[in-house]
Amino acid sequence: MAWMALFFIVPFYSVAAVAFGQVDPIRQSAVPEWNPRYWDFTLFTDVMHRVVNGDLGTVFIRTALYVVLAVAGCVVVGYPVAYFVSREAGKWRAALLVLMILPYWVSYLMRMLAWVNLLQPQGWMAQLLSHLPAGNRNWLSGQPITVVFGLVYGYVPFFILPLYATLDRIDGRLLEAARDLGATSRQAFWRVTLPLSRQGLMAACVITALPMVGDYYTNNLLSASPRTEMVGNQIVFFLQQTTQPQVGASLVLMLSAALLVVMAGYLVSVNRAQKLVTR
Amino acid sequence: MSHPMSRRRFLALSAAGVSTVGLAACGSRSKGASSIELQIASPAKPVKFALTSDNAAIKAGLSNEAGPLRIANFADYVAPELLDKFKSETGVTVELSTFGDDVEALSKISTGAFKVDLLMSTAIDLLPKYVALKLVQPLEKSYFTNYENLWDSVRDPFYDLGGQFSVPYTVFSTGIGFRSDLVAAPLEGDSGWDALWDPQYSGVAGLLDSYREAMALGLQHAGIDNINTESQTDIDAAVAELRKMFKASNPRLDVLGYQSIPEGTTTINQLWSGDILAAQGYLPEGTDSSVLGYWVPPIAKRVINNDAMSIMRSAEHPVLAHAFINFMLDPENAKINQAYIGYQSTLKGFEAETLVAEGTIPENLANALVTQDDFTKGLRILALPAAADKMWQDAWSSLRTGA
Repeated sequence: MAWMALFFIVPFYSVAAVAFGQVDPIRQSAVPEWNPRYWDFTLFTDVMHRVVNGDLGTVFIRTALYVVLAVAGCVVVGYPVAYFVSREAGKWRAALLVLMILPYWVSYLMRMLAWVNLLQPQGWMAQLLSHLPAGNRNWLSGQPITVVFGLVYGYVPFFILPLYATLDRIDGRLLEAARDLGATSRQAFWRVTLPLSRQGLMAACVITALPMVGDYYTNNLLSASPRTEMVGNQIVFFLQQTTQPQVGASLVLMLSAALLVVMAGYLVSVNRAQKLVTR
Repeated sequence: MSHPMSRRRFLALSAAGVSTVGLAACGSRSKGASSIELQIASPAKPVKFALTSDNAAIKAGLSNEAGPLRIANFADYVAPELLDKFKSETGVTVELSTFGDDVEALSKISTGAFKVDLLMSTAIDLLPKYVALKLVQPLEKSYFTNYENLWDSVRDPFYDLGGQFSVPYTVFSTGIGFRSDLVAAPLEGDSGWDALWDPQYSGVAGLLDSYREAMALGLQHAGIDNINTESQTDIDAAVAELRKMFKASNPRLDVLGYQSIPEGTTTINQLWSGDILAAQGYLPEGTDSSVLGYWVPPIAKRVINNDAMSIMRSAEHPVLAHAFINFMLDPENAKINQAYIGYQSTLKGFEAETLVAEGTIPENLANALVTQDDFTKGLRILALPAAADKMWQDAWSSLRTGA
C-alpha cells in the first residue's frame, strides 16, 4: 500500500492537481490546486472534447497504432532472441546475456541519434536500404515506419529480459515429456513453451508498451513531422512551450486512464493464470 | 561547434505575456488577492520602467567582489574561452548555470532555485516580468566604460527605455536558410517564403517549432502583416496557410536547422539568422560555406529580435556582474563570442559591411546580418494577452496533430 501511495497515488494526484489547478500569470508556471473543492474542470473538459471529437483524437489513435505495431515488432524480434538465449545458447548463454544488457549502458537518446546519422540521405543504412524496393526514400522525412522502427529498436531490450527470465524458468522435463509423447519440436513449442511463457510475454508487452505510449523523443529525432505526432509530443508541447501546463497534465491523466484499462486487463489475466496454477 | 538548441525556442516559450493589466499572481483561491502591473512594450508604446527606492542600483566606484561570478545562460550561448579570459583578467572564476528555456529561467530565478548574479540572455518580452517581480536591479552605467561601443539604436530600446535594466546581447532576424547547391533555384525576391509551400521540397523542408514564429509565417503568407494579432479570423487564415504547407512540403518541426541545413537533411528551413551563421561550423568536411544561403523578406515584413543581459537583484556579486557586462561590450571579446555562438553582437564594428569586408562572414550570408536600421524598423514578436496567447497555442497544437 505504501508502495502504491508513493509511486502511484501521490504522482497521479499531483498531476491531477496541476490539471485542475491554475497557472501563475507572471511566472507562467503551474499552480497546483491540492484541494479538490477548488478544482477547475473547464480546460480538462475542452481537452476531452478535442480528444473525443477533434484533432487530438487523431493523435491518440495514431499513438495506439504505432505502439501496437512496435510491440508486435518487439515480439517478432525479441521472442526468438529470448528463446534462443534461454534454451539453445549453451555455453554462450552468459556472453549473450551480457550482450542483451549492453544496450542499457548506452542512453536511449544516443542510440536514436546514431540512427539519425545512419538514416540520413548520405547515411550508409539509407544507402543500403535504397537498393530495396521502395527503399529509396528520405527515411527521416516524417515516415511512420521510421518511428515504429525506432520504437522497436529502442525498447526491444526491455522486452527481451523479462521474457528470457520466464522462458528460462520453464522446466525442460515438460518439453521432454511432450517429445516422449510424440510431439514434434514445433508442436512442443506451440503446446508447451508458448502457453507457459504467456505470462512473461504479456509482462514484456506491458513493460515495453507503457513507456512507448508516452514516448516523444523517438518521433522528435526520427521524424519531427506533424504526420507522426504522438501524444507524448503534445504533452511536451503544452508543458514546455505554452502557458497551459494544465492541458499537458490533462492529457497525462487521459493517457493514464487509457493505460489503466490495459493494465487492468493484464492483471485480470495474471490473476486467472495464478488460479489455474493453484487448482 | 556545439550549439544552443533550446535557446532558439525562446520565442515559443516566452510569449505568454499579458497586456498592461493587473494580474492575480496566485492560484485559484487567491485570485485577485495580489496584482502586479506589467508594462508590456512595443515599438509604438515604448516602456520606461519606474525605479523604486527598494531596488536601487549599486553605488559607483566599488571594487570587484572576490567572486565567483555566477552566470545563467542557455547552453553554448557564450564562448567558454571568454570565461577563462575573464578569469585571467580579474582572477575571478565564472560559474555558468544553464537552462533550457526562458520560462524555466524565470521560474528558477523567481523561486530562488537559481542563485545567480547575471542572466546573460534575458528574453525581452519577459523583461517586464523580471522588473515587476523585482528580480533584476537597475544598472549602474558608470561601470560600463565600453557602453559607447553599443549601436546607437540599441541604447534606448523600446522595451527598456534608457537601458535601465538590460544591455543588448545579440540580435537576429527570421528567414529561410537553404543549401544553394540543393535547391532548384536560389531563394530571391520578396516571395521566398513560397519555397516552403513548394511540393518539390517535400521531406526536405523545415519549420521552426515555435508557435509564434511558425504562425507568424502563416499569417504573412496569408497577407496579414500583424504578427501579434488577437483576431481568431487571422489565426484561422494562418492555420489554413500552414495546413497547405504541411500538405505540400511535409516540413520537419524543430529548431535544429543550423545542423540539418549544412548536413543536407533539410534543404530549406525557416531559421533564425544566428543559426545560419552558426551552420558554417556544421558543414561536412570539404564543403565550402558558399553553399549556404539565407533569405529574408523586405525589412517591412522581416521579424527582428534580440536577447539582453540583466543583473539579478539578489546578486551577491553585482560589481563583478557589471564588470562582466562591460567585458562583453569589448569588441575583441564580442568577436570571440560571435565566432563561437554564431549570433550577431550589437556592437559597433559588427555591421554587415565590416564583417563581410574583414572576412568574418561570407558574402553569401551577408543578409543574415542585422543592421542598426533593421533593429528599429523590423517587425517584433510581442507578448500577447493571455486569451490571445491561448488561441495561438491551441492553433499550433492543432496543426501539429497533422489532422
